[in-house]
Amino acid sequence: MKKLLQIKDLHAVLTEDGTEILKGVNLEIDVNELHAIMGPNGSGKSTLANVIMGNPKYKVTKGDILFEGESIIDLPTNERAMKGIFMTFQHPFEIDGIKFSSFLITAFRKLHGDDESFSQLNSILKERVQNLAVSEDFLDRFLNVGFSGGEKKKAEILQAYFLKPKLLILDEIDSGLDVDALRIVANQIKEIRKRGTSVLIITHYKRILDYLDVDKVHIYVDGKIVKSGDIGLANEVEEKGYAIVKR
Amino acid sequence: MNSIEFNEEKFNYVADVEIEYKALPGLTKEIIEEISEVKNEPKWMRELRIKSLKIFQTWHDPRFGVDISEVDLNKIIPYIKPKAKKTTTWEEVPDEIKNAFDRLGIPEAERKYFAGVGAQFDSEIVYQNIKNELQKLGIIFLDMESAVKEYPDLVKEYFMKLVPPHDHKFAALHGAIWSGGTFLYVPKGVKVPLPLQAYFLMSNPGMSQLEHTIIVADEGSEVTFIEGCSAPRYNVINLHTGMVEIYVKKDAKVKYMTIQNWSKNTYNLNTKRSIVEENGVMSWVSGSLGSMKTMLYPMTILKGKGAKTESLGITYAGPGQHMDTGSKVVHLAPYTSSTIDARSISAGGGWAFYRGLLRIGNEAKKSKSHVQCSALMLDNNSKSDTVPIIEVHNSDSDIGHEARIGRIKDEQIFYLMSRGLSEVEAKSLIVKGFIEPIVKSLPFEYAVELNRLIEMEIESSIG
Amino acid sequence: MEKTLELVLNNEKAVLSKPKEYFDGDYDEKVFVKAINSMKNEFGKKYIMEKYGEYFKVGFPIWKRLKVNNIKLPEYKYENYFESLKKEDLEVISKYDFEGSHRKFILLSDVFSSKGGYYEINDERTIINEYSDEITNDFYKVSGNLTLIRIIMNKNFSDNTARFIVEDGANLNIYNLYLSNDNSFGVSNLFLWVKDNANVKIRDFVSGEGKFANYLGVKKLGKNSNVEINPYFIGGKSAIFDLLYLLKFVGRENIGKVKAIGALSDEAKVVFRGILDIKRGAKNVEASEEERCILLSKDSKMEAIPSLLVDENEIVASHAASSAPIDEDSIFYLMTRGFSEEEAKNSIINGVFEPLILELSKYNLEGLVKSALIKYSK
Repeated sequence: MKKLLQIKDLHAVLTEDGTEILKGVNLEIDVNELHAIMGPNGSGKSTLANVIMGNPKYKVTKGDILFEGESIIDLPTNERAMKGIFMTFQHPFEIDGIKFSSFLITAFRKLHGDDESFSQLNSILKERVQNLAVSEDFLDRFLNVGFSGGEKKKAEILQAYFLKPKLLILDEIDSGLDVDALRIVANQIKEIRKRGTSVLIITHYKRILDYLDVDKVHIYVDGKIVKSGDIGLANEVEEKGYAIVKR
Repeated sequence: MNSIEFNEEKFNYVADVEIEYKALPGLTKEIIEEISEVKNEPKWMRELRIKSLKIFQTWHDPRFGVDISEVDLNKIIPYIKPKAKKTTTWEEVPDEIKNAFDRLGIPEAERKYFAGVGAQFDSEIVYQNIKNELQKLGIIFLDMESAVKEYPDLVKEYFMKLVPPHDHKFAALHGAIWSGGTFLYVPKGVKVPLPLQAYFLMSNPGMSQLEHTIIVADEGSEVTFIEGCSAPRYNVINLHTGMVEIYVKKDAKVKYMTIQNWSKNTYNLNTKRSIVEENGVMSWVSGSLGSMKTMLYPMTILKGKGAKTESLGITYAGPGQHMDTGSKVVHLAPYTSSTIDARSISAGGGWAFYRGLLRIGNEAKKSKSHVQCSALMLDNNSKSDTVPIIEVHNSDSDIGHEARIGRIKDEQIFYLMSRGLSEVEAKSLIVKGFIEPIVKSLPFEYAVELNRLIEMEIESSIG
Repeated sequence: MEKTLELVLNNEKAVLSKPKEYFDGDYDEKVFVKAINSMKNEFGKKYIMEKYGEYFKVGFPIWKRLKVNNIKLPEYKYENYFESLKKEDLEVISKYDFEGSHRKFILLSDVFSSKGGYYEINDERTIINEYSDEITNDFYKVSGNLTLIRIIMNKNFSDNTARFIVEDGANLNIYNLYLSNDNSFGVSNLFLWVKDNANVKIRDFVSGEGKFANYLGVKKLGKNSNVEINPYFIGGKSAIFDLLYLLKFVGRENIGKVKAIGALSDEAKVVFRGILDIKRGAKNVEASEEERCILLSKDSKMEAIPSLLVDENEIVASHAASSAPIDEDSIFYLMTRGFSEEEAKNSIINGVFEPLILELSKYNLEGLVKSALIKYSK
């Protein structure tokens, strides 16, 4: 049985000036697993998410990324999305003039075809929004325009649920959220997990992990994973700081 | 100072200056008389044509805007000669136009018409029903040639009164050889129930390139007029020099919509102007997508107290296109107001130039105006310029202007691609968002068509 | 030569209109001979001879918005122009030239200046130059820190040109204080070539009742430079101020801002031309221009021609212009605090000029602004 995601000795640089950011990352995620990557600020952990998704800002110089056994490093971002990889953004972009709901339906049809009717999809969205504690016009507003920080994160997690990916990468989904919003987001993640979706959660703090069943924790420092373990590792980091893994 | 402004020298002022005019050896008084004869026009029209010809032959090219030295005026002559054979065939129509017909789903029967090669497009049947309905309301809605014959006095009162032949060189040319177009008169208090389309009246293919449109909205009336249509149009000659004159009387409302999509060999040197009386409202909605080079500055003169105008415009400059467009508004009376929202997109080496004019006269007390220009540059080979001229000659008016140049950020594209959109789809989605306020104000079928056109343009710009 | 406007994309060119020219009232050959004989420095002689070759072919412009069509040039005099010019200086100044508001006025000061010098600034220095009804031409090569104050008092005609090379890491502060009498006509043309990591601050104060064509061009060749221009204007009677600010961006990572503000009374008019010209390759540039005009009388006028000319898309550029009467809410607010309407208006207008007054008080020059305010803010 092929792993869902395999990252092998991955090296990547900034396209603009060649600065090396990923310095040999190895990681395997299986179907229906939840992995967490923890690391200090500026360690390049968000870069890993961006490289998996194929952000042209970074260039892979060595190593490979396999999804369901096939290399994806030469695929453009949208084809990776179509294979079932979804990433939430730390700072989602505002796009004026595009209604959030019609954007979501357009994206859904890109990924899953247009068997389901517009009104079916629309009613799924309306129902999902109920659980998010956001204002009523949430779906009618322009994509992320004028959304508060919390609303943007909720909009990202709504997309993650609606677009049904196989692998969900959560890039600092918890940053800037208050306790209530954090609980809402965590509940959404749990629901997504029920479908057997694998999750890679990238975070600076342990607190979101307390809501979830974590299979594996990886400590990421200066461009690579330096230590892996179970949730106990996260507790250790929380107590003693990232110093525990520094040589 | 060296200037990128409109030149507004008056005709007699330049008459004594050395000028580089292009006389047209073949375009003679005799030909003009012959045209007028065949059309069976009244004497005043014949005289107007001849006077215009004289002015044309002494006028210089505009001293601003796009380079039009390649306009081939000589091709016009055989074309406008009465009874001459028009020899274009379907085979000569460029593939890009034929493909566009496919993409837009233009019915077979209409394709040849838009390509300028077919026989008359049979709109009579559709039009007949509408015509009866309009007649009941006292509305005059005719092609210009018939109107000149059937309502000579009414037409004479308005024909080239707002844009006289000496306005600029191409106004003079237009006055001499105009052909086709629409005459619309809406009587006092009549609100026209449906948007009227010039499309209903087009008769002679190609002749719509020299068309003259007059709209007179009498006191308290309301009408929406749609010029042409968004299907790409192949031009037999490479010049479009039409003219639109709109008279908005007291308390009347006119909305004028147009999506210009001439084929990419065309020089589009069009003139549009309206004059608005007390409490009248003039709205313009325009999309400029086609042509190789365009110079078009729809102008509104707010003459009566409380008159209003608003203008929404999109200009798309793709590969090889140089689009010089903008709105002109002149406030002449107190409590007049204007808003201008101009958006442009340049891509694939296109050049979008916004050139606007806002003039607040000394008498226009307490008037208000807001001008907003936004430009989107899709890449680094393109150019986007914005030059709005603002003249405020009155101290208690409130005038604001803003302009911004933006681009699509790589991160935005990446975000959308991570949701499954291709690069082209991502870009066109952002462009659609950018022009959404304008598209929103169009009738549904036009909005759909405009979105599809933009998609096609972006594909060809990026592709 | 630095052109003011170049509208070109690949093989496509836009059409630009040129003003008509006239030659009446120009200096004749005899005056030129006088100029040549007055100049003792051989390199200065060489310079003006070369420029004269172009001078006599160009006429004076008839500007549409400034409306000057006859010119009364002052009697030629020589005081101290390029007296100490060295061979290497000539090599430098010959390389830097520009079109200005019109070539004629640049050439006029190149050839017929009474005053002017070549300054090389390597240290920290403050220079105050006063001009009155004169034709002058200066050249500054700045690699240190220079504060330059130019005071121009114009009663009849003046034409003042200056060129600046701002070297890597230099700091340049310029104050142009311009006072004009009724019926006077003045022209000022400045051009700056700015290299890496430089800091340039310019304050213009344009005041009075005359006609004045002010041109300030900046070309940013290098990286990481910061140019800030703050024009202030206040005038009355039949004053016309035609103010052109050009920022040309060639290098990357530059910041350029123009922020103009002023007030006009009687029949005075301002024409504001801000041009932001961003060339392809000038990535990560931040460019903005803003103009605000307060019209104090019913016949005062504001005209603005802000131009954004952009060939590069990885930039941020914006412009804004506005004209409005003094905000009625502010007047009301001050009146509830005991100000008369007149006092309220005055203090609002004075507030606009306050930053400039504060800066000038360092040099005891704030009186120029204050007296203009008293005269025209009625």
